[in-house]
Amino acid sequence: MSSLKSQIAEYMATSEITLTEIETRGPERSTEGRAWWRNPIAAFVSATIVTLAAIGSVALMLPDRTEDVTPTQGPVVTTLPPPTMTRPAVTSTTSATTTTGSPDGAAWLEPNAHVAVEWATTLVLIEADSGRSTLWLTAGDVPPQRAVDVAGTVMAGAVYEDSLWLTGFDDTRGPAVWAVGGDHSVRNVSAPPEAVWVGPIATVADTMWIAGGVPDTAHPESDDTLPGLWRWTGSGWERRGLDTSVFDFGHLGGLDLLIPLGDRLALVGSDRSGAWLFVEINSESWSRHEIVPREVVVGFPVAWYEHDGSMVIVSSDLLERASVFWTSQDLEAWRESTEPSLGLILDVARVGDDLYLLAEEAAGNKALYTLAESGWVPWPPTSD
Amino acid sequence: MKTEPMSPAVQGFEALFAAHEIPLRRALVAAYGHEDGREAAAEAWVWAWEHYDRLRELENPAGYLYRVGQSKARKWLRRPVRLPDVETASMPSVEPKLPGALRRLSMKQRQVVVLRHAYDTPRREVAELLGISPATVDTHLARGLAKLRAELRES
Repeated sequence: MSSLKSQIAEYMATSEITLTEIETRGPERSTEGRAWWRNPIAAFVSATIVTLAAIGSVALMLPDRTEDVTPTQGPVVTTLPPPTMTRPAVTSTTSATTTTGSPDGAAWLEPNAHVAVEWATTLVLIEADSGRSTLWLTAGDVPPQRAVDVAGTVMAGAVYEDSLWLTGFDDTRGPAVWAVGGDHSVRNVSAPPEAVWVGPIATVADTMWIAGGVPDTAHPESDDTLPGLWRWTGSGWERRGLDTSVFDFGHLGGLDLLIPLGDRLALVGSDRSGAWLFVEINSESWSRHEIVPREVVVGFPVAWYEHDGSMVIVSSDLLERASVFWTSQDLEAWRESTEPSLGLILDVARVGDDLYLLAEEAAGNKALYTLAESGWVPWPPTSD
Repeated sequence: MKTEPMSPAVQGFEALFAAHEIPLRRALVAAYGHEDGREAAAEAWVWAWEHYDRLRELENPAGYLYRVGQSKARKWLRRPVRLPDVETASMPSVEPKLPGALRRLSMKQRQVVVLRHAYDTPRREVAELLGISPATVDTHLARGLAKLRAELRES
């Protein structure tokens, strides 16, 4: 065998040549043949760039950037009155005051921590690195204790029948689901066979739901997936159909969050033209509520919580490394606010009456905050 | 045939594309695999065209576009990185376990290893593109190579 360096070079170069041959054989892959954006200018530019990149030319033919790039109108959906949220409100209030900088205790957070979830009145922080994940349990201001290792990349978690169920993927199984028992045993659960990916998870009225993506069979050449939703039956997954005229996401869009709204299931989805909340009306239909009617593809929903009678959805923008809070009391009118000092928000978890927020600061280190009357403050408290 | 003169914006965009298309595409290919990486790069250039006025003011447009590509690729973070198998006929010198070993590196390790070793990208350029220090590039490179060697040796 050659040196490792020359093997990597040969592998990457040969693989790229093979791909280029495929691309130049059929331009339809980049244009009509896929579920492209509902933005004709973007589709044209992208198709041009993909093709020209493949043949090594930069002589671009670009449309006027002042042309209207407003996406086409989506389907009109009848919206029912919003449901009442049943979770009791927390008595503390958020003010504009926030703290800056990381708490001393942030040193206890693993650098790759990216998920926060409540389990048996304990805050669980999950880190993922190189295809493995570790669950860290916190108790008070004691540094997190390493509890469980999972062979895969965990994306989200929720409690179901006293176990912590996790979704994500591993290198061999692809989409993956795990159930962690109270004794910290880890059980591999088969993901829905038709799922390309799974992520959002929630337990609603003793039923566990997961969401993800399924292949777009009408466009088999496309990498885009259609939204998928499954219910755990106790022995397997039962897929629930989603009306594609309601769940009509554009390119790279899909479901981001599942939310228990009382005894009803709510879903948050986003794509290039906006973000929406979908609330279950009955087993057949959903109401659709617009959260933000603009591009959120560089800022997508990552977490939610209820506070003071309001629903709050957190959208994080990897590009600007900043996050936005969308807050609504009636699920119709959404107010946008920011907390720049928090950095990039990764997840939010409620443990009892307390809310915890996991964030990444500019330098890449992680910080944990809790919601106090004065706003989000570092957790554990800084010792002076 | 009459040809319309190119506007300054188009000229500027073409220059930007000529300077940064290859390194940007390679960085995203290293992160997400050949197909997804190329598509993320295309998405980033679409964004660049739509936001060119903002992009032209930036000191490190390639680094910014790299983050745009990362952001566009968010859905792909939910599944394993897709790297094609080794076809022994066309790559006789390559260890068949290499794609799997590359896949199991952390994203930063894989990017640095591929950019430095497959594409001979200068260390400083890798650092600027990924938004990390040159010393961190060295750290990721050393750890990534050590993991690869260990895994290929075990196989």
